[in-house]
Amino acid sequence: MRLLLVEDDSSLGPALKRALEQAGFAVDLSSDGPDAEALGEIEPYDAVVLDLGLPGRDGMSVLRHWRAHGRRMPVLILTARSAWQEKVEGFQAGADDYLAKPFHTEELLARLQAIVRRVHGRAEPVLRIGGICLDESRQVVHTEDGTEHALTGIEFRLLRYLMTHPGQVLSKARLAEHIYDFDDERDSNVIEVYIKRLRQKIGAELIVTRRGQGYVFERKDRQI
Amino acid sequence: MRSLQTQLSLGLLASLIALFALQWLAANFFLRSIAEQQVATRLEQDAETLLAALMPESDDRLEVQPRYIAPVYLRPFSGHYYWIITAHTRLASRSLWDRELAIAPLPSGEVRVAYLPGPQGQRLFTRIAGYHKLNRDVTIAVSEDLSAFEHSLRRFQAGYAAVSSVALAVLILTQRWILRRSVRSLERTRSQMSQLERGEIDSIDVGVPAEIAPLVQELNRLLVILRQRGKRSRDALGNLAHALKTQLALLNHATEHPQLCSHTELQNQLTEPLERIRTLTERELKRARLAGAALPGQHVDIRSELERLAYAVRTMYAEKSLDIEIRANPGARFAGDTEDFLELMGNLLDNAAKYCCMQVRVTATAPPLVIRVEDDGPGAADDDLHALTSRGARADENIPGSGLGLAIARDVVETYGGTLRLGCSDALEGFLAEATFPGIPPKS
Repeated sequence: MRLLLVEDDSSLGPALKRALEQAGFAVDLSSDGPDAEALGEIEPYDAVVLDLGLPGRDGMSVLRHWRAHGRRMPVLILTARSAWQEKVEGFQAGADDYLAKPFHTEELLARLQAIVRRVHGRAEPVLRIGGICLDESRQVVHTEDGTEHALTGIEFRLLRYLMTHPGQVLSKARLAEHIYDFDDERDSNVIEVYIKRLRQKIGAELIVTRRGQGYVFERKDRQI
Repeated sequence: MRSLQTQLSLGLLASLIALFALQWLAANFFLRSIAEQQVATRLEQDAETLLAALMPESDDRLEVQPRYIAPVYLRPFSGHYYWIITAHTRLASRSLWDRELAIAPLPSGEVRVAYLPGPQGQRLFTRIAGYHKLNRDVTIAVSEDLSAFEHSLRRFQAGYAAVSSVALAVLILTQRWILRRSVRSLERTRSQMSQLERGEIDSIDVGVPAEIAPLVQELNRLLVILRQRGKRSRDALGNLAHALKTQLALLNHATEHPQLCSHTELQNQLTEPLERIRTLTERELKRARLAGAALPGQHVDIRSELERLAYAVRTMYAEKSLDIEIRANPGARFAGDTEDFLELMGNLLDNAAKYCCMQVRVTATAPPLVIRVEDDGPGAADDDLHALTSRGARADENIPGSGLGLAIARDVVETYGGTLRLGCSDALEGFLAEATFPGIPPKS
């Protein structure tokens, strides 16, 4: 999952970025309004954590701009402004959730996962498709026979993206876009290596290669 | 303070009465003195005629030569009389019949004018003068009955008083009418004041009489200052809260550091005060930011704001698919600040949404404005209700979660002089929060 973190505080921004990366997100950090607005318009983010008090352009206007330009990614407003007036305005502007500072990182992650799930029409905190089960909080996967496999950061991101888009053909470029952040070197050939490792853990038949097109996560039995 | 209208009416009445009385007295005085002067001149001529007609008789007594006597002095009780005193005799006009005039002799050259009782009880205007003729002192008194004049004078007085009273009444009525008209513009200002209080307008029209225009301008200026001051302190508090909370977020984040996680006790020593600072900041800063009813000229359209809020709450609890029902008349108004209203209703709705199964109902009725928020959740036990309703419960004593929200809601309601009642919903069998605002009594 690729995530845009917009936070202008020079200490909180990087700290949050690390925490979110540990939770398995590819995170781009932006610390001013116009920059964030441009990134959100160009890059295919799966979620945004948006501060409201930003230099250059305030978060509310940035959000309105995205929504006005058809950018529908889930946005969580993370702000020190806790007045209901601002909450109401935030939701009117198109926010999916609103979290007031100070906050606990766990709560932020839980809310973030909830809005991402909501977009994909799921209510459960655990992804269950094709007989396997991905535990997002622990970043482990359970296979059909009940064995638990630990996943590395990239493996987890890749599998989560595949599992949230079952039955769709996902090109290597698209996969790379969603598992790496802006600053990472995007080598789509490495994707093949990770796919191979995932197949070893969850079984080869779940991830099907479409030659010249990409990969499909097979939903051979439907979502439970 | 007596009303201006009464004061002005009474003042005008008193001064008009004084003016008319003075005029009445002056007219009387001048009329009488003119009449008396004229009569006195005539009497003087008559006296001089009489003096000339005084001739010594054979016995050396002075006698008036009858051919010089005017006929009015001959006809009995004609109203014209004379009375002559010489050293030896008293000569009376025939008209006196045989009555006398009580007159003392005057030395030669002296003149006196007096009212004397006449033969038929009338008051006689009398001119008495002392003369010297043929080496004898003669005092001649000539009188004229002024009853006829006095009768017309009284008629004049009555007429004058009647005209004056009518004029007085007309003047008072005119003045009241003028006053009413000028007070009507004050009346408009007064009704605008109560509109201001109800938050329907935000300044007072300056199209008022020049006397009160400065007052209205000053009031408008004060309103602007009050509004600016309120906004400034709100902004300052907002900035403070923003800065504090960002730093708290950093601290919070630091406590979650893996190295600290292995030292649970140390971590708790940090997280507990942090949590307390958070609740304190939240509640006290929110309380300080409440605008309250101190700022006139504001009102909230209850229905539209509730709909905006309901949208926000539905999104926040998207996984619950809430059924939020709003029962409020379009146009129902809350006389106060939008932010305060949202703070109150946001906390109540959030609380209801958090605990309900799926149904939340908001009902607003007026007047007095009563807003009820009910849900179909488990409600609260009597003990908890008691703890929640206990007045003066401070932020640091409050249980985290719902307690803080309800405490803030209570702060808002109390800022507006209202009451917040917590209990059980009859309709939905869950929690009920009911805010009652006494509001501004409608003025006619």
